[in-house]
Amino acid sequence: MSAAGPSQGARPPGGERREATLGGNHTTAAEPPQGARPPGGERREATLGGPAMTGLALAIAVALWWVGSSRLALDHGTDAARGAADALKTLWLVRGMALAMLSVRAGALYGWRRGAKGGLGLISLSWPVVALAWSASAASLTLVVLAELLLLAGSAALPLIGLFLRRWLRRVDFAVMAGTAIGTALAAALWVASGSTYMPLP
Amino acid sequence: MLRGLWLLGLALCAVTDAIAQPRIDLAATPAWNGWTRPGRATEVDVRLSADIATRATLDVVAGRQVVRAELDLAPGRIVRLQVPIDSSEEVAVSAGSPVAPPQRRDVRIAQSESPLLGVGIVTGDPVYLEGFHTVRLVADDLPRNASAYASVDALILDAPTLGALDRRQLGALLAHAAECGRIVLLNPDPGVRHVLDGMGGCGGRAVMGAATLADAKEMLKSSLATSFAPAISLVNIRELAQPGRVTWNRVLVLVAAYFAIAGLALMLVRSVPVLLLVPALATVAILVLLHAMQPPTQLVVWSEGESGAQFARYQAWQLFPGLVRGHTRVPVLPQLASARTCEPGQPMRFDFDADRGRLAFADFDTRLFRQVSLCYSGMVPLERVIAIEARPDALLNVRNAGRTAWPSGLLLAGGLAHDVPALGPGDSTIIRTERGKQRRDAPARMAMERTQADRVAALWESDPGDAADVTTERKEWLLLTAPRP
Repeated sequence: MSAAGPSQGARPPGGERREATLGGNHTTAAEPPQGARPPGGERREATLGGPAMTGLALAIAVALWWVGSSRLALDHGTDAARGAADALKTLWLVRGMALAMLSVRAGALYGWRRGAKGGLGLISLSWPVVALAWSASAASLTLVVLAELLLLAGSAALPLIGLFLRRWLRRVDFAVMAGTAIGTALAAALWVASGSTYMPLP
Repeated sequence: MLRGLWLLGLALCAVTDAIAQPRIDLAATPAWNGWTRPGRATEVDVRLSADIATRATLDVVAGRQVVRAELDLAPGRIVRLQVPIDSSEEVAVSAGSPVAPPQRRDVRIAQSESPLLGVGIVTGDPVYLEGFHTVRLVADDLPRNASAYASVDALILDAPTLGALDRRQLGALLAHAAECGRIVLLNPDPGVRHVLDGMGGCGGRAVMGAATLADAKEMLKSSLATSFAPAISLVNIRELAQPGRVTWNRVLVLVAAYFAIAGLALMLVRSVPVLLLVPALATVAILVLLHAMQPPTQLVVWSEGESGAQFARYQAWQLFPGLVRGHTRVPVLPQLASARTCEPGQPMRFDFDADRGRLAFADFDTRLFRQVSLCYSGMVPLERVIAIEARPDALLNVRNAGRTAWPSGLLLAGGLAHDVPALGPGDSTIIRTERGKQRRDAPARMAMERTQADRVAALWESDPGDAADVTTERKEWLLLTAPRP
């Protein structure tokens, strides 16, 4: 295993940086080694990679389910709003759980900036589906917007936990393990809390 | 001294203000002597007056439905409105003006679980029909809106009560007769009887004449043993109209297009801001497109009558497909009668045109995939007469015995559908009964369901080109039944 990479915010000589996806192998390449230069030497922006693909897959799955249930409701003359409300709740819950599981770990591996970017990629790709499901539901706009803001806040805050773990434990592999455990615990807590009547889900 | 003058001034202002305030008198009486049945429409008779000229707003709240009317009150004149309402145990009637304190009257309407028998006879003889709850009526208890007749299941009226009905009450009673309402007339005036016989739907079987109260009860009993064609449910209409498909298809296309673009962007673009911009812009674009692509309102009219009858009864449904969260205000179609919301649980506000005595506009909340419907019912003059003769070799001779031409349509006989060409007055065509087709489409299926086994029926769909309003997609059918030869 390699040692931890450069401190957060440090940049390899030459200023070039090539970022691995957030789901990359954390035991070998947490950060590019000092002085390493990507082939070609061009500057490339960070990719959203795995989290964004996960976000897109979640959005597609929930959208398919919601569109299908809406068609059934239309054909049977029942209210399509209930399916839309379920879709909103499901979208929020799965994104929240995925965010908890990925962002803490990403923060421990790659630092806050890339963890937050990954979280944004995870949650943002569902926004059009959220807008459509809200249009079809009876949910309040304020509640839906607050729920999205909470996810955005989570995408900014959770990588900080990972970053804190890395600095506190001083070893990436320990930090990643602890981050994964904390993320899983947070996701489980979210799942349990979602069944509570006090949880103001959309 | 100065303080005293101030107080005097204030007191004078208060007195002047009190003098200028109009006093509104409000009274509300439910139709059918305060009885109805759960889920059935009824009516409230509202009387309003004011001591000085003022503009007032009347609100009638029944369940989740509100009927609002703007009225100009003149001193010494009583404004009387008969407001159609949904079934509700509590009806709140309130009136107010910007310069007058609001007045409120709560009207209680009893909901009978048993069928209701309305009895309007002046003799006061007791009437009991097994299984029915009897409601004693005077002429003024009868409604002015035909839709309110849904509250009662059978009616016995004598000649004095009939004679005391005003023009609007008679119109509503005739419409009820045309819609197969069971009515027994006790010793009616021959002229009234003739009119009601001509208007009576279901082959005139629903309107009966009796000499005594005992005869009336016997007639009602035998009439209740046979069932008339029931009202068409909203589920059947959805099959005819197939609403919501256009909206659903458009949403599916939007969602698919977005996912395609997002997938491509993820593969091709590496810039984080651009990748975040894609869903944000897509969200805005989808909401804008939803606002822009309003699908047309659907109007479905199903009329049915008997060959040779003067009137056919119709039921109509105006379906408003929802696309966005918001508030919609639509005009109630003036050419159709007895407008009401199809689903009593649907919150809706109606504007009542006090001059014409009818609902003018409907306000309701919409959202994507929500289908709000307005129901109408009434009668239309019928001019088509069909004459069918059986011929040897399983042939039917179908003749247009009326004075107007027919478009092409379907003849439904023996569970099979046969194409009938357009026929002018007096023209005829030969149908081979064994060459019929099993039609599975919704109109033919509904026509079969609504045709009794001992009858044949002709079904015509109106020409879509008749529709003058491009914002409304119209579908109209006429089902005409005749005895099986």
